[in-house]
Amino acid sequence: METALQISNLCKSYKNADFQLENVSIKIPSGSIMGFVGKNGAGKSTTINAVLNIIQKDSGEVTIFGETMTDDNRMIRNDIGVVFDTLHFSGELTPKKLEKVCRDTYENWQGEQFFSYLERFKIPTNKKIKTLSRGMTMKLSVSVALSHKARLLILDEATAGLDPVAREELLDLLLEFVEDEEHSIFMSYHMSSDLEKVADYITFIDQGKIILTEEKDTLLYQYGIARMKQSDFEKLDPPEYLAARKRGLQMEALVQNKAQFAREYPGLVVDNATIDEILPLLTQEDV
Amino acid sequence: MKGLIRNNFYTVEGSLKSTLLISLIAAVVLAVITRFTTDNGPLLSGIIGGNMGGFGALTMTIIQKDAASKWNKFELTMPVRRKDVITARYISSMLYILIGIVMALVSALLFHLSTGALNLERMSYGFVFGWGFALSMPTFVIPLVLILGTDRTEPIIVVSVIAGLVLFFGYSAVFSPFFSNLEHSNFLFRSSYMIFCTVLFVLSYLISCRIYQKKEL
Repeated sequence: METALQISNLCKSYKNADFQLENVSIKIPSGSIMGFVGKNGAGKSTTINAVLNIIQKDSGEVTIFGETMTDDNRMIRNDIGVVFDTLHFSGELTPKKLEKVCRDTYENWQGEQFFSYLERFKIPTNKKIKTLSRGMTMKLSVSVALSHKARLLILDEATAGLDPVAREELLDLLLEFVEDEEHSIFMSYHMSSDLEKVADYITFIDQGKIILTEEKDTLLYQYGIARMKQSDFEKLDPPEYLAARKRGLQMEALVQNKAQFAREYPGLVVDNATIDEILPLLTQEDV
Repeated sequence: MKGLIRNNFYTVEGSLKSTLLISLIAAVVLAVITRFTTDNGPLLSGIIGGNMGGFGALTMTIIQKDAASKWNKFELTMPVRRKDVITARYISSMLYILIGIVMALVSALLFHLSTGALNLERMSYGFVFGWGFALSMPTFVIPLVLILGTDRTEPIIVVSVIAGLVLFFGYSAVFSPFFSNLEHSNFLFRSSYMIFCTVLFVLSYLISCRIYQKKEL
């Protein structure tokens, strides 16, 4: 299977800052959606900015469809559609003028497709972008990303701040996009409920380090959260759980195989895990 | 590249229209004033230089609006090189300066129609000053904003305007004595000043390309 995006040992540090990306490695097979999850400041946007050459890498390599991502390699960027968390177009433009800019920039620009998205989302073509609502501007950004025959979409918190209806519409669009098996999506979120609906794989990042990459279905159906009293927790061997935290009087432990754990500890409650529950367990300090 | 230049144009379209309108009004006002005054030469030079400088200043509008809208980040995700982004900015600046030259010619034409006189000396003085002043905007503003950041745009603009004036008067003070004994001294001096400003503009472009290659947004 072709690899859409491969990030290998990506490192990035900043002067006068404690934060750094440490050997971030991620591989996204073609035709799949990779969710990229972490707290605010975990390194999601830094990773995406480094992938896109918006910031300089200290070391490491980024390849997209097998080609190294460099400033000179313009052709690769025809294959990438990018949606940031906020509007990144000049507010002075109208969607119609933006279309002309894109037509002159992307080699495979599909004007008709772009206008069909505008019609579908009821985005006026002659209104200045700065007068559009947040929902509309995000749909406009996605319309641009989907109208130049991109094979890889990179979304940085793209549904943040959208109402549930607008989020659903965007997620539907993303699912339509990956109906083509050559298409892939790399999407970062700090809220992960959306990812449970669409992602194939989830990568967790914390303090600039990748802490877990797993298939979403494995996370949801195989992983579990065991809840127990402190005295029961103390009887567990650390290799039996991935992470644990104290919550009120109770202990919670993330286990990799809930069925096996339940067989070994029949008296303990093991619930299904959601991504929103796994993230704080993985990213909190050791108990 | 064409898309970037187009985007630059759309971004300053409103400001461009306002500048054109102001320029036209100023040209008409000048034409009317000259009917009631005698020594209009300095006024003609001023309005020619002002026109060119005013349109050159649109470069700053592009930089400010691109940074405010975060377009400068998005454009790097498009199939363009960082060098193309800088090239598009300098080409756009030159296009606005050329519009300024056209508007300066319109002013000079109206002046001529109003007075019946063709003051070539004052016209050429205005164009030479205007060329240097207009070029000084992109020459100083673009690399300085890349180094110091868009949040310092206002002081950079002030510094660039002062630098443009210092350049003109400084160049005159330093180099005019070398030309004073030559035949066609005015022509030679002014040509050398225009070439000097153009060389600075090209150097600024090369420096900006180099800075932007490593710039983090």
